[in-house]
Amino acid sequence: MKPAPFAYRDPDSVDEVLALLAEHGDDAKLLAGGQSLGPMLNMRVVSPEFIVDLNRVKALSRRGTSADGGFAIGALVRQAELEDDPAFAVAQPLAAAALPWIAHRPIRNRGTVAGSLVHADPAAEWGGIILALDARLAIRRAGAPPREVEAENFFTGILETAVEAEDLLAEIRLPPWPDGARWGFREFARRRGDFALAGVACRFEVDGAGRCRSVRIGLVGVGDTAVRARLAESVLEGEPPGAELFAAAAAAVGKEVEPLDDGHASAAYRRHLAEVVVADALAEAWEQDGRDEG
Amino acid sequence: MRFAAYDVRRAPRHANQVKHVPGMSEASTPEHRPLLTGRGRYLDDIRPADALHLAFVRSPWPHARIRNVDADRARRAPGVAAVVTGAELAGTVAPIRAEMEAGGSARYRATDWHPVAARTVRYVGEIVAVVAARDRYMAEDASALVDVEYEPLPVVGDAVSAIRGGATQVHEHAPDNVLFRTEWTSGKKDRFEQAPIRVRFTCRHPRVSGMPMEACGAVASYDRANGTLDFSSSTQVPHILRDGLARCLGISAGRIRVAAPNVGGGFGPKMQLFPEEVAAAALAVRLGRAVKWVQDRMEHLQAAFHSRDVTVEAEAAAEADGRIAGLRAQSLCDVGAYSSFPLGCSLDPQTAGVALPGPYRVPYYHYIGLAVATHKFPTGAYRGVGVPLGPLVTEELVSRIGRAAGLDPVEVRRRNLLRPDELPHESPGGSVYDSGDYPALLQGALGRAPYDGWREERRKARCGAGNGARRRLGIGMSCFVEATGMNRAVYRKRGMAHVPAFDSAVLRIEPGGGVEAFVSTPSQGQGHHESFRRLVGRGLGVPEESVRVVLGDTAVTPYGSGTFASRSMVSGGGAVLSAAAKMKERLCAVAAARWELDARQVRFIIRDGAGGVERTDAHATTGAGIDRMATHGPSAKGPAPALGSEGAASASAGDGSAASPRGAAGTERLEIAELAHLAHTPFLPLPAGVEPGLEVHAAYDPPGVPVSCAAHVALVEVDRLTGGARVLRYVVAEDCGPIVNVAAVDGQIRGAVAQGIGCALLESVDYDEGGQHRSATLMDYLVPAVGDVPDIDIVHMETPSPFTESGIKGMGESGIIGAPAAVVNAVLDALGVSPSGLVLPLTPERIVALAAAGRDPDPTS
Repeated sequence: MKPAPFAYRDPDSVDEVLALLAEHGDDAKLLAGGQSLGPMLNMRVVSPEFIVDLNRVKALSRRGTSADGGFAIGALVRQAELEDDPAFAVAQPLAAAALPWIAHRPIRNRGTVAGSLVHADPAAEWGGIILALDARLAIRRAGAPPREVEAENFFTGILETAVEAEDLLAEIRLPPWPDGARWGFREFARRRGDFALAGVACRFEVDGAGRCRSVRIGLVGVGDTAVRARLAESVLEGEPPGAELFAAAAAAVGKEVEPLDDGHASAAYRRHLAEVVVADALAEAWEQDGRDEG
Repeated sequence: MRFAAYDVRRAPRHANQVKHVPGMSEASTPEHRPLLTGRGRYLDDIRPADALHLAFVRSPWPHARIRNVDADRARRAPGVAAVVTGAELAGTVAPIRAEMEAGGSARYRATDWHPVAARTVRYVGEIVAVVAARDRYMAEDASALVDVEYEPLPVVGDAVSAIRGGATQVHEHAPDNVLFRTEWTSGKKDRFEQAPIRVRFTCRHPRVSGMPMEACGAVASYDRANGTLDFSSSTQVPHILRDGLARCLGISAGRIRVAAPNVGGGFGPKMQLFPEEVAAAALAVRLGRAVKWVQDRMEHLQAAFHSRDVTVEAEAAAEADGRIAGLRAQSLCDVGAYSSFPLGCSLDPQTAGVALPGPYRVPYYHYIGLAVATHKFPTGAYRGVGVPLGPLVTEELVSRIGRAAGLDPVEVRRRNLLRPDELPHESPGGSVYDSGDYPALLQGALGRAPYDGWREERRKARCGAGNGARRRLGIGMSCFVEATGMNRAVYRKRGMAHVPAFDSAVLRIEPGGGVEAFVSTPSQGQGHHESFRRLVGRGLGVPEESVRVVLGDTAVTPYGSGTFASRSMVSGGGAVLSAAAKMKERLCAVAAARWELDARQVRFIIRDGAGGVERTDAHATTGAGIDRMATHGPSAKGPAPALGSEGAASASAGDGSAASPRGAAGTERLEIAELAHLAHTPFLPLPAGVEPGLEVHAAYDPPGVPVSCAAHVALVEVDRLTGGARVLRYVVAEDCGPIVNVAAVDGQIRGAVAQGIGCALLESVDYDEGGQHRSATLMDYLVPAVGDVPDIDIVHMETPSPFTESGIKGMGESGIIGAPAAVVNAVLDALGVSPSGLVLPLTPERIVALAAAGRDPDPTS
């Protein structure tokens, strides 16, 4: 468990990072918190020629309220920084509620949100969170204008995203939390802190007529990427919330997901679990009756 | 020779009256302080200048012929000193081979396991070449350059297909793939066959592995001038390892020194001889340079000894009133590709067979145990070995008998548990149960729970509105016994040829009065230093701090078995106490010489915790030189939790002369420090037959096998929808005889229960049908984390074993023996199911499947 030889660079500006990526592209790996890359290097799952360490790039450590009232998370922001930030909990209650479920505190101390997203483990919580929040991902590349990718276009395949070899995921942009939105987060793992066998981040609003609006359900662990449960969302949209409706939505999830078989669980069991966590998360959201978030 | 206070067979106290002695539990042992503050010296901290680091080229195939190994590119890689193939090593290194003298019906086939395979590989991870380079990075880089040409062969992926007719043979000399078979019968079959109640249960314990925080490793260096090999290893068994290396290398054991530095957990895997260790030693000899191998976690998961992988199929019969009429069982143990050294592959089938009858009256018993070769990594010892299969199977059978007889789980156990007045009892499993109160232990555990409260919680969960269908509680219980500190007679009976089965201690008092104790059972973090210090301190009446305990170095520690099978306090401790008794005789002889008296006219006495020799020439005394309270005397400092646990006062009272402050007739007394000086000065003439100096050696073969006993109860919550199971509460009532160190005992129990929870719910070394190893990392092999283990409440009873002088019974394994059964039974209770067969671990997915078959529980119970 020793990495193969690699060259190491630690630039201190975004431009230098982009220049290095432009030069080395596929042969380079970005190092932020190192919580996925470190073990993969040690196990020689990856053997890049270059490691480009982002940790000296101060500009990537910024986090806070953005001009549109949303919340911006720089590429070097650690999970624990958000977990410990009371302003984040107020601004983004769903993401804040999910944070303690992400791995373990020592991992959150170093691990970054951007690193988790770019690594794109299909069970990583942030995949479901950005889908449930309609987040936008700000991507930079040398010689090209900055671009934004919608959350639902971000994941392109197992461990693959819209971030290409020459790209830097510079910032995660969470839109303003809608007044009165309700949310639920649930996951099930064999042990606390493990990657979830199935997990869900969901939110919806209830309009003046008592019907579900703006429903978002982001699932993790039940496919080769995090996915939105569009069928279940459509079951809920425009209907009055309640246990029966949630059961119907959960059943829809069971129909639309395509989980994988692996050493930890069969596809059938993951499908079943997806239904269970969705029903639970929707009920959790609905039970927030009367709470005015945001 | 007897140690007086243990002669007094006090009636065992009832479990629910036993309380912790204040101040004992929190005692942090001096051994742990440097370890917890980062000052321990572990294997990887041994850094000889110029050492070569090893990396191993391992087979990706479970079964293949090696066509060719091309190491040229690797040899030219930067920093590489040598690349050695199996063919190159074959001439100088003998295979690892565990012999057995199988008696009775048993039959055994040894295997030749070449440390570096030359012709055939038989498991994924088998070593085909060794790279020695300047550092481990370079060694790993170069190992990727070794080009091995394999011809894949058919694979035997599991034990069931291994014994099917026409199966591929793992070894040419084992046509049926059976490496060991034993069959025992005890009692008459009639009652079994006529009994009205018949219950069956089959259980598969997963392949698991001890997961010490520090993995394995070795540092070897060879002194060409003297022809001696210096070998450090993270081992539990320095002397057995030395013997194993000597056999493989053809060097006399006396030329090999094996030393264990601080060892970060053992749990069994570190008692087998690793092929990597043999290779490291061979390369050190061949290259004349220090060679270092530090096993990483991936290597550990793939190629540190696995354990269990046992399926037991059992059937019990009972009378209408729930009394057991008999038990029939067969175990099928998948032992992987080779029979490992030193214990051999009979370990699991033999120990499961011993354990199955449990603490119950079993008038008829028939057992067949099979060890079967497959194309997996070989198995070896892991805490508890085959013993957990006993409670796993038998406890469920007993509960089923209870249901068939209309008895609740507690009542059916009460009817079948052996009572104290029936002990000693020869179990059909072959152990002689010596001591303890099994029904009182169960009662003690239930009382502490408290059982009635748990039943009420369970009832509420079953009736809970809305949630009732989903969240269920279950109560599991597990009663068991464990033979500990097994002696030469047991290993003779088992036929295990490479376990000396005795232990030794050397005690030395220096001229200044300091005491050194050298013991053959090393510590892997259990606190042995502290416990032995306590035994010596109390035994000789010297301050515990003045005792230096030295363990785990064959250059200085006397010959013995090492640390495994719950033997250290029984066997190592027995050796220490035996040496202390000899030391007292020596002190008496020196004092007698000083006073020019006959040795019978002096006596060793401990006063206020201080040992000394006093004149008794005004009195006739008996038992010259043997103190009748020594092991129970108060220590010089602090509270003195007596081994017999009634405290120093009553122990002293056991000896009239010692209780009186100036009691002895002679007023002259020589303290140990004075005697130490006298024994080492040329000015004291010693009579013929009295040796100068103060050094004694005692080898100790326990005269009998102490059998620990315990009852565990668990309260487990199950979510029927997700299949998640959580152990909410856990109580252990245990009897390991007189406790030397409560903190150590409690720590052993808690750690082992955690591991047992792992076996029940989480852990499994997986191979696919094609023989590929799938548990590559700790994200695949799940060990219990802090959130998976509840507070564990422990109740102690202390019934001394009548079979040994100290009465101490071993307890290193008991937690993991009882816990899988208690947890599994609780899950089944929660779900209200009695499946005919069960495969562990009970993953959420398996629990969901079980829940689907569940019946509606009786909401009133």
